Amino acid sequence: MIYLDYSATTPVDEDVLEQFTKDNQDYYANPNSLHNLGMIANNEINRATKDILELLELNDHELIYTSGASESNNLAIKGLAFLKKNHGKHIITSNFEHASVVSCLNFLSKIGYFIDVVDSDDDGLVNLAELEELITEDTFLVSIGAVNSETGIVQDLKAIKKVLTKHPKIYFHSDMTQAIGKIKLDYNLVDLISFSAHKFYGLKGIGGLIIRNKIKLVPLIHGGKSTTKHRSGTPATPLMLSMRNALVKMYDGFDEKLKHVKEIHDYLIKELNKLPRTVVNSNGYSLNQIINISFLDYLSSIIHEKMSDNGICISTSTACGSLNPVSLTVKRLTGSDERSRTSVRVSISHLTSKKEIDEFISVYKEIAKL
Amino acid sequence: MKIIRVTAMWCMSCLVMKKTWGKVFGKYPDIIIEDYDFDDDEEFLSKYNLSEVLPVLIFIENDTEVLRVLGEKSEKQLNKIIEDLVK
Repeated sequence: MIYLDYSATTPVDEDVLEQFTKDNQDYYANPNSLHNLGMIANNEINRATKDILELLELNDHELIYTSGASESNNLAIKGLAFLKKNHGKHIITSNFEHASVVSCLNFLSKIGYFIDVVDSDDDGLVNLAELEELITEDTFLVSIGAVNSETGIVQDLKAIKKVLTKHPKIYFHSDMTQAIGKIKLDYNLVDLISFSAHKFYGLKGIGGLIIRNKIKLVPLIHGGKSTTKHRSGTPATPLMLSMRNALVKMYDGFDEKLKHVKEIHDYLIKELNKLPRTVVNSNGYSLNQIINISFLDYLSSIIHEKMSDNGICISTSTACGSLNPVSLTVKRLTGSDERSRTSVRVSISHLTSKKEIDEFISVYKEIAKL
Repeated sequence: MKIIRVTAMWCMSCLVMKKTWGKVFGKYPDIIIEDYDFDDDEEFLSKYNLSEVLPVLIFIENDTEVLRVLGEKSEKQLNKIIEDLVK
């Protein structure tokens, strides 16, 4: 089996998994209990939180542990919307957001909030002039993902922040799920950051929402104080520690990992360029881990199935749920229906080898009878 | 005239179109719009054989489908579609 779907999820790191198993035995006490074992668990969580924030170079922030990025996006968007209901009802987002952002916004639009979707330019970057035009006195939130999951295009967060700096009452939320563990970013540019551990070789079921200190949110899960007043529930100590461990491991030798990914990326692009009727939809703004490709002679679902039959895991757009995969992101980026219907995503990592890329290309040549 | 409008919570194009629908359909108070959710109203929608992108606007006149509009349309495009239909 060749796994080229690292942006969907990553395999859990063996050391992280081993330590998680151990932590389940060592830190089983409720961290909110006042006895010795509870306090030990609580101290471990506090240390993990401090480590995560330091790794991301955030020093005036709170980390809210969640079940993953979908919950984080819900908490950021709905939590602010419910809090600000008497002060503003207008949210601006981009046209390439994850379904968990889109669903929140569709939900809010049904209960009286107004949502504007800022367009992208020909490179897939947010149109900054339009963003500025869309801002009103009623705008309280701008939610723009850092990296598009289908094309890997990285937004210019600095430029977006520059626009928003003129409007200090507007919060800037970014879904960083595809960014953390893949690229270096200045995380201080945004006010609320969503992410998931399973995208950087951590376990599924744990993620985070990082907010600037002093930001308040209406919780989605009410209950006791837990590790924060913003999200209740008995803290899942081993999962929380595992997220820290995964992040520490991911950033260990990060430059070398990125160098390897670039080599594999460049090699894949070189091989793809040799194939007829094949175009790469990702562009110069895309990170190296995500390569969106259109094999123009095959619908996405067909190439996906044939690759899977040959033991190769890639992905298609899921933007339309159970309908035939058509990538609206690729359509917006390229203007081509043909490309959007034939688009697949290959996502690589520091674990990917040239041999795996050779096998991927070889399987495609077999499928296409080249 | 009646429009069966099919959207989904996760649908970006549905979110994109909301403002345009408000502007265009606001000019035609006689048009009845019935909203259905792609996931929640699966049984009702099964007879419409939805197989492409969302949102879907199914224009019904005298109990007969006269036009189906798929995906995102500009305000200008949607205005033209409605103007042609109500002529």
